[in-house]
Amino acid sequence: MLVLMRRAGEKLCLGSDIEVSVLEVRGDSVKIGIQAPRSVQVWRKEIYDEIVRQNVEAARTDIPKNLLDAIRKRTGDDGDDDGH
Amino acid sequence: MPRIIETSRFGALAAEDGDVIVFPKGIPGFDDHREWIIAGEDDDPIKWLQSLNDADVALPVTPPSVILDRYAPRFADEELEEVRLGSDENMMLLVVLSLPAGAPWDMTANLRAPIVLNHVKRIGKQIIALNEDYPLKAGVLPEPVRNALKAKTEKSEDAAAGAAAEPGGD
Repeated sequence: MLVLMRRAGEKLCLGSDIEVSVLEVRGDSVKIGIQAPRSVQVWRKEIYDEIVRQNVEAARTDIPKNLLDAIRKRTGDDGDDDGH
Repeated sequence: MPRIIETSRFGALAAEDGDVIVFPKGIPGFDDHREWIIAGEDDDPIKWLQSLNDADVALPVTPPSVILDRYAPRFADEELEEVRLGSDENMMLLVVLSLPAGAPWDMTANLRAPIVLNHVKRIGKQIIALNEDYPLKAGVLPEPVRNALKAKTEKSEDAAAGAAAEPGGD
């Protein structure tokens, strides 16, 4: 891994069309600005990893029929009357 | 000429060209899966985003209105534009559902990264919303419903296990 030291206000270039700016450093947080072509997607790594994990898990599931009924019930009436 | 795929969930599915939704970048976790269709019964609140690349891959999805009264995700313009293609009117949203193994009643919905579809241009993308307060795992069913489903399942499991055990503690 390439490791570079930068200060607030300084920038990095990744290739010719991606620019990463260190905007602010406060405690253990760094505010970063990224300028990149729209074809480059930028994500917070932990969120992206979690989405991958969920999608892979979701793709394995089956949905029991009584669960479908419970959801249908939720949408069928307006939910005012739960029966008591 | 429809393509026929043999799925594990729905048996043989015929995918007409007009049904296919292209995800140019795939879906996270399934990056190479570019072509998907929406499968499932018309009156089921949950549909399936079925991959045409792998017949065993299908994600349970639902329109957000099924589980939420108000849902207003915001997206970065550049990300949205890949699907929007100049017009708002053909856009629709789906949220991906997750069902924990063995406890399907604890189903959650990914509100942070909905599937954004252009149903006329047949293009889709899962986009991370800018709304930092939308959870990746939002509970779907209210607690009383969850408890009822759980109790019912345990009861039927007990019944299936035979009358060997005494129902203690009454």
